[in-house]
Amino acid sequence: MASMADIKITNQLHQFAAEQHRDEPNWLMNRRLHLADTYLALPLPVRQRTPLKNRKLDRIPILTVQPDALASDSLTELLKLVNLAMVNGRVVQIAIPQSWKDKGVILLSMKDAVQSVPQLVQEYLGTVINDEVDKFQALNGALWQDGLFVYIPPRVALDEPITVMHYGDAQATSILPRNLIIADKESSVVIVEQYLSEPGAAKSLWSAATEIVLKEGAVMHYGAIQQLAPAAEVFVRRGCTVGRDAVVNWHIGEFGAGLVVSEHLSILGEPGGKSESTTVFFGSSNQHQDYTAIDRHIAPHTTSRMVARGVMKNEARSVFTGITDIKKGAVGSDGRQKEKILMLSDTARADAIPSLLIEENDVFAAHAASAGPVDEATIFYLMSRGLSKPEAVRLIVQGFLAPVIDAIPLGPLRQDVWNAVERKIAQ
Amino acid sequence: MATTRQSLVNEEYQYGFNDGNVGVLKFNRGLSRGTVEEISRIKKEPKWMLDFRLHALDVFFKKPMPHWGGNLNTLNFDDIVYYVKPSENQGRTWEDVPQAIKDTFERLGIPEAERKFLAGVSAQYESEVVYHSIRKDLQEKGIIFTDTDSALREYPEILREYFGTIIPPEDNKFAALNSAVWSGGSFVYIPKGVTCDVPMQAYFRINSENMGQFERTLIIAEEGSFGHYVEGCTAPIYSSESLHSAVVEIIVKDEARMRYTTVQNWAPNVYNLVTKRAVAYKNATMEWVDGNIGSKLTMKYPSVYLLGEGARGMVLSIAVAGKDQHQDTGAKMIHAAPNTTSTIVSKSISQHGGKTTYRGLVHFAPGADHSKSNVKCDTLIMDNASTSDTVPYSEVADSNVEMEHEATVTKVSEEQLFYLTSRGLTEEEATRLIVMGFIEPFTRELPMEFAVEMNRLIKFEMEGAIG
Repeated sequence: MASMADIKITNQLHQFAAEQHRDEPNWLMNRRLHLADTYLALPLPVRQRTPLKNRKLDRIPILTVQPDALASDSLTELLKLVNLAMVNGRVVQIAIPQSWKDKGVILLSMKDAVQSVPQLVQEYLGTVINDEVDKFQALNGALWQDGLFVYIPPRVALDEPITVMHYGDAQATSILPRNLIIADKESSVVIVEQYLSEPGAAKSLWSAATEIVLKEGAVMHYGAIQQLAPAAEVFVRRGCTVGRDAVVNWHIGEFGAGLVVSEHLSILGEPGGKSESTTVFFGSSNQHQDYTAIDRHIAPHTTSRMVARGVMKNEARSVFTGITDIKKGAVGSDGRQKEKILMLSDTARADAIPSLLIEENDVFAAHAASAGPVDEATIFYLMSRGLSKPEAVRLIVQGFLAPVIDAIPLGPLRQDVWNAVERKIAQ
Repeated sequence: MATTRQSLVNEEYQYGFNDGNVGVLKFNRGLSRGTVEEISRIKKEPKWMLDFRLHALDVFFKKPMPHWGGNLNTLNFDDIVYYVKPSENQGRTWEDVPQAIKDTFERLGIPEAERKFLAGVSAQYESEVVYHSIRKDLQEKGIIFTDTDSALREYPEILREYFGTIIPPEDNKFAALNSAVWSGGSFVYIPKGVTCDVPMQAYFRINSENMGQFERTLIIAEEGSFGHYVEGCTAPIYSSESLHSAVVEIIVKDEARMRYTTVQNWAPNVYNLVTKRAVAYKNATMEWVDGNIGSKLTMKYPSVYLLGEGARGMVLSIAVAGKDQHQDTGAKMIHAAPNTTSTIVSKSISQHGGKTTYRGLVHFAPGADHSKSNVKCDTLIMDNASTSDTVPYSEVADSNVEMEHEATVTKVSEEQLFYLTSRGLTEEEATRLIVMGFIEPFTRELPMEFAVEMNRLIKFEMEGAIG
């Protein structure tokens, strides 16, 4: 039995969704209202290593219209550099090269896509990510504000990356972006997302979702760098269904926010599909980072490679859960994981859970994980050559991360990740 | 070829016979406060132990069933018989043991092994230890090797000092159950500087249907001592489930070394839910050698708390899961002092629809500077009906440590099979050879007689693995 208070909250939530999205077709509005109920019905996610109860997430207002961005010069400059810019959850700019349009690429804000290509949105929205999987995902499903929509036609290869900026200013409270990316047969595309926010005293809640659909033979590089301010509490979920002989490459760089709970999932549901995933994280001060990467092998002869490298300092805490999940029937599949953590402080803590869940015998699965300190002998050697200790540590951190960061095939993204690392080292 | 395979497949669980109803006292099924009071009354225990049991029972009733690990849905606590007394008195010679029980242990080869190479033997049948012996020379060195019930009467001070300190009833639901209804098990005390160079063996046998066996073992290795404790276990096959839920607590003091070897071969209707934990002090070494072949479901994660500087921990384990079996096993290493080291080597084989799970934890507490851990888990999946999970947890809360973990899951290598069959071996022989090589790091650590037994067991288990 719902109490009077519950009914009141339900009504408020429904009303808010209806007001904010009154332009949307019925099927989508019904979806939002259903997920609003799911959001209210679900408890806080119970994460063994990430207690959420004390973070007072329920005090962050969600039923408020996010303010318009204050147009500062630096922000204006920043936004010029990207194809799609979002501020406080709203799309403020879209710039598409004519050559892409000529090739038939559809690049829209999600809100526009709902109006102009409704059949594509309806066909794919919610097919990669289950919006009922936890409370914050349901919140995104119910109240997502806007995001990137991309459709790449068959055999089209984009020469330049599609760049996206998510910016939150100090007034923003809840930012809920939603992306949907469809790469048709044998197409090839690179997408790079940046998450930035203005430091502020009040907490902000981010729940972001990205769904990627790769058709037969498509190749996708997806990069994301998260450098949000410490007051941000972030829940991110990304998923990709990988078509026959298609390849998804994840490049995830996690540096900011006070709390991050992030998951990326590759669903290898067609033969020959491949997932390559790299996660670089760097925890400092009292950050809490909880990452999950999942490679789910359903079809035969699918391949996955999962790599994570983390640097931990100060009182930061990280959890990296890697799951190589080979289902029955996925014969000839090959899934591997490699996790490495460099510990810079005694007060930091890093947990790793590299799991292999195997239901098939004609497969190969392996993982290797390690954690260790900066090597004293190396420090000594570098210092004997005249370097200060911080410089020596900096070189060691660079050397530790170089094999994965330098493997990022996208020059600008690679540079951005290095810049983020440098900022973290200096902090 | 066809005939060979036929005869191989026909080999079954060898120890599945039962002796009928041999007990002198058997409780009704089910568990209540009265059950616990009655066990304590029969054993004429001091009040503190009764209080301990009753407190543990409360904890047991309060704790939820674990929501992880194997499937415990068919385990019904009300169906279990919590206490069976097999004979009036404990034997000091085999002649004192009732004939039927003695015959069983003869069939299991215990008296023969005792004569040949053991320091002492403890034979538990249902709830009580029916036979106990220790070599005189070892007794004269001050080594105590007795059953835990006798220890409570004969060495109350030592027992009370350590009992339940390593694994309190609050630790988990099954530790609480054991603490409430425990009976039997071994008590080992090795004095300072004493070396017991031949193994002490305990053998556990379940005979009745729906039996619950809850032995409680406490081992104390004083400074600079050494001991090797070996346990084996079997049970008859029944269509309904039995429960074996042991608690093993070990204290390894400064510079001492203790090795605990298990060859678990329960019948495929036994739930084996065991808590085993050791604490190792300064420069002490604790080694768990753990083989899991039998049972319906085993959930067991031997652990070492490395509490003293320079302490070492080792777990070397194999798990073989066949038809309808789930071996959910692993190890835990808690590094809580500087310069501690740990090694975990786990070998798992699943076949005929069985499931193996490696579930382990390596934890480095703050201050565990210069500690190191190395974990290696390998799994062979023999056929496409079988499955395996590897779930290793690592927790690093100190910068100055080194943790390494590796795992693989594979099938029997086609190249190796091809090579061996091209040399004239049949596919069965070749597979067996590869599997024997796979588990060799484990078997080579067993005492000779056990290695032979283990190889024979694995051979049984492997038969019919192909085809």
